[in-house]
Amino acid sequence: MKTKTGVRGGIGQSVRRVDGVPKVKGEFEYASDLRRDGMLWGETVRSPHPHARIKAIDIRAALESPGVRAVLLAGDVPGKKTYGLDAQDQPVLAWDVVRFAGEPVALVAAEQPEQAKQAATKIVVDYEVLSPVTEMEAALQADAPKLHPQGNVVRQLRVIHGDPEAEAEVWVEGTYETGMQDQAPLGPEAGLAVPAEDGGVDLYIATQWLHADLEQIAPCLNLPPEKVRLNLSGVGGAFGAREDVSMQIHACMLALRTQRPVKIAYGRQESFYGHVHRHPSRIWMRHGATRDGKLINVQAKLLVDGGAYTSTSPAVIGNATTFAAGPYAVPNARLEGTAVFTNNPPCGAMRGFGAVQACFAYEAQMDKLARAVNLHPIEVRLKNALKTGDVLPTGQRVTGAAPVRDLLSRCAALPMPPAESPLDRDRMLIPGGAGNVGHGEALTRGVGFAAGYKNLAYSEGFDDSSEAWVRLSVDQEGPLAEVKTAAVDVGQGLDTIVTQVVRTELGVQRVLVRQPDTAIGSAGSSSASRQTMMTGGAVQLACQAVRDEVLRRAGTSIIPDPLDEYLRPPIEATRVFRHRRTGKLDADGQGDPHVSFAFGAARAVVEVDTELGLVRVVQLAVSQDVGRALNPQSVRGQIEGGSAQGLGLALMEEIELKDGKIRNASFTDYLLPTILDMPPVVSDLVEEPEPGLPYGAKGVGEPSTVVVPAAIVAALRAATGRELPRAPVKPDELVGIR
Amino acid sequence: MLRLPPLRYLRPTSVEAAAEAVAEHPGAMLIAGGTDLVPNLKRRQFDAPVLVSLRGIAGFDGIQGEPGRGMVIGAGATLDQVATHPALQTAYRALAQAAGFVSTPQIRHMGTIGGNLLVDPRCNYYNQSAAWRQAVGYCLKRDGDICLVARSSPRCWAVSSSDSAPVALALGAELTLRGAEGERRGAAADLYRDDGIVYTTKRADDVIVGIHLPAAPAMTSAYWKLRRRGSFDFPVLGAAVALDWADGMVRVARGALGAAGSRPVEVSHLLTPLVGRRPDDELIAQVAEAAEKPARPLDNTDFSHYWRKRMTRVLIERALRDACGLDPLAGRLTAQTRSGQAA
Ligand SMILES: Cc1cc2nc3c(=O)[nH]c(=O)nc-3n(C[C@H](O)[C@H](O)[C@H](O)COP(=O)(O)OP(=O)(O)OC[C@H]3O[C@@H](n4cnc5c(N)ncnc54)[C@H](O)[C@@H]3O)c2cc1C
Ligand code: SF4
Repeated sequence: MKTKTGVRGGIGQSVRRVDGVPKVKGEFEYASDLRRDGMLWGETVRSPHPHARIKAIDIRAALESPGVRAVLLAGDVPGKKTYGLDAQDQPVLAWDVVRFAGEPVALVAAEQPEQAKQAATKIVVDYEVLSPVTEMEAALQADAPKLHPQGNVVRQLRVIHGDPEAEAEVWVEGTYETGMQDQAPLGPEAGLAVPAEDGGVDLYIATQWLHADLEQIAPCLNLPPEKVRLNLSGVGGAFGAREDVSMQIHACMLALRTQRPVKIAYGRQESFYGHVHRHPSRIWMRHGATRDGKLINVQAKLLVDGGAYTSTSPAVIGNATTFAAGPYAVPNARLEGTAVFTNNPPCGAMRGFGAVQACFAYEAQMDKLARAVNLHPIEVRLKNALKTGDVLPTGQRVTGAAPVRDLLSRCAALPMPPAESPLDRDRMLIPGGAGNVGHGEALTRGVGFAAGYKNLAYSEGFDDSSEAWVRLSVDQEGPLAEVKTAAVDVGQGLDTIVTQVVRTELGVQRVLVRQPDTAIGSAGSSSASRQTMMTGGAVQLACQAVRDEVLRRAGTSIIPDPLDEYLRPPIEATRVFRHRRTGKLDADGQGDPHVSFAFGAARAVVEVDTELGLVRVVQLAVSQDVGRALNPQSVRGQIEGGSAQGLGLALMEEIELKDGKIRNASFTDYLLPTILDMPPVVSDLVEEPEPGLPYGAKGVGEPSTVVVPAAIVAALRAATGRELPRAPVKPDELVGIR
Repeated sequence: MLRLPPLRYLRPTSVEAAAEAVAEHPGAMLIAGGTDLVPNLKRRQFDAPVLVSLRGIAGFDGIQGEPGRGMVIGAGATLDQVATHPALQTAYRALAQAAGFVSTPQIRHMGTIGGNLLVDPRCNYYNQSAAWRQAVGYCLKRDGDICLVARSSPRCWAVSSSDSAPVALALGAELTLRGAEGERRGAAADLYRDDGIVYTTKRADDVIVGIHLPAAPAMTSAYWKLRRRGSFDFPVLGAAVALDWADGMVRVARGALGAAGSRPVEVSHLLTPLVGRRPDDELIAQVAEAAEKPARPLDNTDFSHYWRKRMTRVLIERALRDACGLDPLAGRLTAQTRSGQAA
């Protein structure tokens, strides 16, 4: 396509973020900043027990508490009592049984937040405490208490490929675990519900997917969808945490009951209880290969803990299982995945969505295989690397770009950090140096590699289309393009990409991205690395329709300059973008489940103080298959952020549970990597345009998170010679305690 | 979000008035930077119907003297002031290090050295919101009648998590306290009790006014702090050592461990083999192995307590070598790890 000369900031350029300056200056309005005159504050009463029967709830004292305007229980839910993204099995408010510690049981609205909190403490819930099921294996025992009518299996699937009994010359085997990670978006859940004159409600909310929220909220409120209007408020990060409904229905219920605006804003602790987490996993794998390292057969059994409710567990275990053989050509496989219900907090979407856990296991296996056949880790991967035209274990043929070989060799060739003497360096560059517990003693270095992949957009037959409206008009300052979609900029930079697309397609400098709401059609979720391709695609189509009208009015074949006279009346167009259809899996896990894939490779260089078990990641190098970088700086930002979350999972981030209760629901105890823990990230963008996607651009948000944990732990194994089957790796394991 | 309970806030302008205000209001507490107290109050770890601020007192943050004569540090000096003060970079270096390793720059600009000496002992079962503690059934330290870490224990084992407390012991610091009934001065070591609940010997109305560091022109000192990340985290173990020298020989050796018990744990008596000697690799390693004994970490902080116990000797060896100016790479324990790896 032609970009009119003189228009700056089209696609392919590192355009500065449209939301950047307001965010840095503190002028950006996040959902927690929402305010309305006369608004009430909502508070949620949550179960302290992971498993209990509610015998009675006494709200009398709470109702009489100062400032209280409403106290609501399950019986007050106006419509459907449950919600959920997949199965609607999660109670809006629990009525008979609570299935996890932190489950909402009652709501309070009061004039002041303190009054709401005071009143909440006066609600007396009489629980009959039941013994919780907190271990995955225990949940699958025949005599385990059934947490749901259908039992404790959320989804079980298997993928049978080729001859799963095929013999091999070399076998390697292992069992791997990953912990429960929190998305920890810096903006906790918040929203404001405002009752409307038509008996409906307007909800201002930070979310990832307005329409999926709407579909779950309206039935619970017993309102037709058109009476529930969602307006996007400022989103402070998401990473999957805002995919499920949190306080949306609660705020609307309180607003409808009191006929006053009601705000609910979680603090950090409540945020830990209020959203789903990354599934903890236990994965057994057995890889068979020829003596020279060519894969013949991959066997895998994957178990992930879905916690108390379904959420997106079916899709997560679907991903983990179908990706369990990794980005490798594997002729034979038996991959079995199970997501289970327990009384742990519910798990669902988090950046990497099942692919992270699988990669941690299959890449550890690839390293074991490399050792068994005496090959360099890169060699064994190159030997088996997937390429376009290969068939995946599901029988799906990879039709798009699959530059796995390229990624691996490029990543391995990225500049290594220089060797450093332990003594003459800045203390901050020594493991534990910032606390003065290391001056260079007992250091060893290790290098580890990992390759992995992840699907883009929704899978298994899901049609997650996106709609965009574009209007081109003229005012005193000249042409102005306005865009509206329901797509959420969660912080990833979508509004900037949309602006770039419009500039490129229409040759207009001034672009205004309107605030998303549900007045327009769904844009699908800001997840699964899909918005740039889906909403970018919809905006591109709408722009093309507008451009056609400009050309028709002008009678030219290129956009005329100046354009102004052709824009009276303004031109508008609305278009929908759909990805190609995918299909469900059959009983043997065969089908065409995924739209497209993004691949990545990472190299980690670590340094371990082998006496203390403290770690410094010296450098991360990531080569990523991006199709085409529409905004290279944003792509690199995604790779760095994704790497930081991967480092967190590898080394420190874990929700610790004791009998189903979160022990570390605060940033003092749930440890996120700080800038001092993050090494320089060398990012390398491999651009092989993907056929069928707008501009050939692939989603870029997730691959680094998929590969970095595996690469870091591989490097730790190389440094210490220890097994390290579990992430996050603790210092105890690095020094051999346990 | 977690919010403060309703309370009265008083801001007297003299130490005497502050002490009297606390004495007058039952349950009142002193507040300096508030960086420990406020988060704890928000989690309802204790009640304080009245807070008496020390921030209105002029001259409460002075730092005077130098190692040759001894120094006095006003309790209201911020951690940042202590970390960066030029006179604290030599003999008393361990104190500047301890202050500089606390949390983040923001906290170091708010938090004071006096408040740091009095950090409320921490425990995974205690530094939690009221709702969480209710869910696990409360514990001795607040509202309950058992210790959830050591169920049969009659006492609380919450962990002294102050970075400066072990250093104050190692440096032989004294404190002046001013209460409603007058002023007194005593060893910093006497401030602490080995109890996670009643962790000091001071009365509620006693204001720490100053920290006195004895004259020690020839002293060397070091503080080593173990934690998971490069910043932010409370110590899971701290080692403070101070060696006073005469003619190249150790004249006095003092040391204390942080986060190894409910009070800073003295190890000076275990360092006496160094006295009168010119410490070498072997001697330091022997001393370090012996000096880990009094550390009794329990499973109530980040990391496993086995690991914390095992790391004690490593930290002491490294800190002593640091204070002696020895090559960090030549330590004997380090050498053992090395050869263990090679094997
Ligand atoms: C995220 C975070 C991380 C932290 N990390 C660390 C860490 O790594 N190491 C560490 O040691 N601390 C840490 N802290 C705790 C705290 O910030 C510091 O200990 C700080 O020095 C406390 O000083 P303050 O002036 O804020 O004390 P305050 O919070 O005001 O008071 C603490 C206690 O001391 C009492 N008090 C204060 N001043 C006096 C005085 N002059 N006389 C008598 N009583 C007094 C108060 O009554 C209260 O009981 C951390 C805090 C946070 C929030
Ligand atoms: S050590 Fe025991 S009594 Fe003390 S705070 Fe922890 S659980 Fe409570």
